[in-house]
Amino acid sequence: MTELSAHLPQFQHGQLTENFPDNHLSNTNDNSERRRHDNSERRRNDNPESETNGQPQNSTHLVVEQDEEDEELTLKYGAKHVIMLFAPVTLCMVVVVATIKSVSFYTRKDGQLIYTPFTEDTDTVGQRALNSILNAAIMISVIIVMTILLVVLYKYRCYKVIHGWLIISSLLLLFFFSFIYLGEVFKTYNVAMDYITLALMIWNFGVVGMICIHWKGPLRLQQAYLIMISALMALVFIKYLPEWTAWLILAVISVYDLVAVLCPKGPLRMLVETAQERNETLFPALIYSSTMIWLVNMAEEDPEAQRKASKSSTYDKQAAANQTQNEDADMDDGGFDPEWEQQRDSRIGPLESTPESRAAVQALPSNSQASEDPEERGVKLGLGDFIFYSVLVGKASATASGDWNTTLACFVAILIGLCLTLLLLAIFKKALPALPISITFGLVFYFATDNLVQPFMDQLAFHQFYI
Amino acid sequence: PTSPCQPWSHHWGSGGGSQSPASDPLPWGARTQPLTRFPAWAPELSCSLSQCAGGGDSPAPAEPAGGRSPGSGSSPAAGGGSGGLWTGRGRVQVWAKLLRHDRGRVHWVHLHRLRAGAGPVRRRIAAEPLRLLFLIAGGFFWLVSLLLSSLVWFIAVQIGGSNNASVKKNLLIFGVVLSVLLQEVFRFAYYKLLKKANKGLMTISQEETMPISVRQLSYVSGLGFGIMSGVFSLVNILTDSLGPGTVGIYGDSPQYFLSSAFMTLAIVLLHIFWGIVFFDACEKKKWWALALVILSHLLVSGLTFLNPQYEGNLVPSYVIMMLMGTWAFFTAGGSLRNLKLCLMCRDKDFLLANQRPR
Repeated sequence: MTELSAHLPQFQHGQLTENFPDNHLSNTNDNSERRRHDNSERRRNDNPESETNGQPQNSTHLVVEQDEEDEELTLKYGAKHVIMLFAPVTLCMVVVVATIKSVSFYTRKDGQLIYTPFTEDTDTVGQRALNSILNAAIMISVIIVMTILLVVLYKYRCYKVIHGWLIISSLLLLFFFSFIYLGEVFKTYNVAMDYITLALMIWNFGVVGMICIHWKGPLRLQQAYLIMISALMALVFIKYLPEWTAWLILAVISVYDLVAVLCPKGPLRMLVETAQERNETLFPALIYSSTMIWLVNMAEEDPEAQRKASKSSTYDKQAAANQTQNEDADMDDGGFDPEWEQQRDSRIGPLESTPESRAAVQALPSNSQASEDPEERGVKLGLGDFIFYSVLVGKASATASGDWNTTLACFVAILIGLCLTLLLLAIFKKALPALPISITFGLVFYFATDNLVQPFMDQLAFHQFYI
Repeated sequence: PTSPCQPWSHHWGSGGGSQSPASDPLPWGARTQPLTRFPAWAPELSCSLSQCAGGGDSPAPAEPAGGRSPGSGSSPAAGGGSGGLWTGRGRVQVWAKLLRHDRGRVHWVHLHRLRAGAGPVRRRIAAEPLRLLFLIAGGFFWLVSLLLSSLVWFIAVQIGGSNNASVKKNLLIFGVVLSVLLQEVFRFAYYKLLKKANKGLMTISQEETMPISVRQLSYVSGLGFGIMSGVFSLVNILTDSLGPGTVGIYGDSPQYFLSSAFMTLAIVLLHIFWGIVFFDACEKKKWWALALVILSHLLVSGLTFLNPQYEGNLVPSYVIMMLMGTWAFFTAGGSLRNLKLCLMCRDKDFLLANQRPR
């Protein structure tokens, strides 16, 4: 069971991991044994505890140490998971590009963040390059410091501080940034709005968002909110990062992501491993997950009947034991009350749920496992990935001379990069950085399309030649 | 001796599940009572259920056989067990219905297990998302080919250097020809990649049928190429058409937008047809068909050099498109008979596959 519950957690700077459902079914021994067996060669790095699961094998006949690859036949991450991630990434990018194209606020230069103090309005190209390099360096060091701080806090179990930090940042995003966004949209479309209505809207949006993200909520709503806050954050970056700085930061952060997740002493890797050791999930506010976690419980034997059986067996061994066993079988109705049984009998015919049958059913591989075959396992992606993908595509749509061609090229490149990353994840089955491949493809395609393809297509369109 | 629970496409009508499940790959139920009374069209049903029955301790496994036979004998279940190609989902539904009619003991418990784990049906990698993935990858390949060809063109222009308009135009024509050839090369490369990927997917899933057929692949890849090509040709023109402006103010044709749209449509459809014919030619090693596809692509692109004389360009292009369309139709297995059946909604195979009444 531990292998089922100890799923690899995630962090925001883009790791891509798996999401095993938390399965609290009490006797999934067989299932876990079987899965362990067949997965042992596949999940080499994953869950060291799974091998030490000390629960005894339950009643025998179900455990078949056969070739279980049939059960896990599909690629662990099939095309379905790729599409499950394509959809939110596409949606986030669409929101960002639509905003950039319509609301001019986000393409206007209104100063820069304090993290990028050097301006890019310089006289010479060299000076501009130098400034942007310095800006990128400062930004990256800020990110590194914050990541290390997060890891330190996590290691020393200062959960309250981390939660407070996350709550403050999501408050900022959900209330303040969305207020600004809404204001700018209203300005663009010349919609007259009063403060009272606006306050009501923002209040509702924000509070529901906080609840969905930090506590519980419908899955789709939570996903929608995560997409929205990623888009808002990306828009902020697009507005306040000057051009060369933005491209440099994208390049450097994908290198950093690679290092931080894969190197043994990388902060993100340490975070992942610590969370794994403690068997915890990482912060839900930083991760987009595509499925819900299933919690299944099956009716267990009535504990009183069990006690009675044991009591009686200690008193009077043979005959009495048999007798009480039968009695217990009658008295222990497995939790089904008479009305329910009547209903059931009328619907599907007389059935009898004896302790043996219940034991047999419980000993079956769990329902949740059955109804959640490998294809329905979820995939997780950090919000940082969403943000940086959208920054790339947004910047491409904002500043490219090729405009839509460049935007589309970057979009396709990022999707293909994500697909390749998922393929690697399916092969290696450990936390992987999701930024490097996609951002590299995106950057290559941005510069290539903008400088090479655009003049070509322009000329073709001018002469109306078609290729 | 093959295991009884092989992918059903191989077991269609091949008799009941009376084979021993010893070599059965289904993981549960080491012991079974093979049920021989199952209808011939559902051999996997018998073996799967026998596995289920064998798995439990309590309800005696003999019982399912006894308890089930009236059910199975008398309820040949929905959709009639005869011929036609069933999709996986169709099979699953049938099994569920069959079980529901049955008053057997264990089955309601095992129902979801069967539905969920029912061997070959669930093991198929779902074709739908795979198709979408290959579509986007096809677009990516087209994009890469465009990138390379524009790189070469750019270098040529830098080398060529002059501001002479005719030199530029000639270089552009060279760029177009190169781009067409590179597109076809990348189509071939994509074909090779898809074959390899399919093989890989097959070995991983240990199935004997490909998750996605070559025909579907050819259509999807052609569509991918077509969509990217169309989008790159048209989107900037569309955005310009929104803005303020007058078409043809400098003496160019005022039908610029319209002709662009028609031409793009032709190109997109042509890419689909070329994809189908191309892949089929590669599969069957018909090199003449391959050469014909490349030639027709060159021809269509060449005709666009006649623009803005739209009659000289659009009409032959559409004619070529119709011809390619019929060629692709017959290549993909269509025939006049199929067409008639399809149009009159009487195509049995299609209907069965989609569980619709006639």
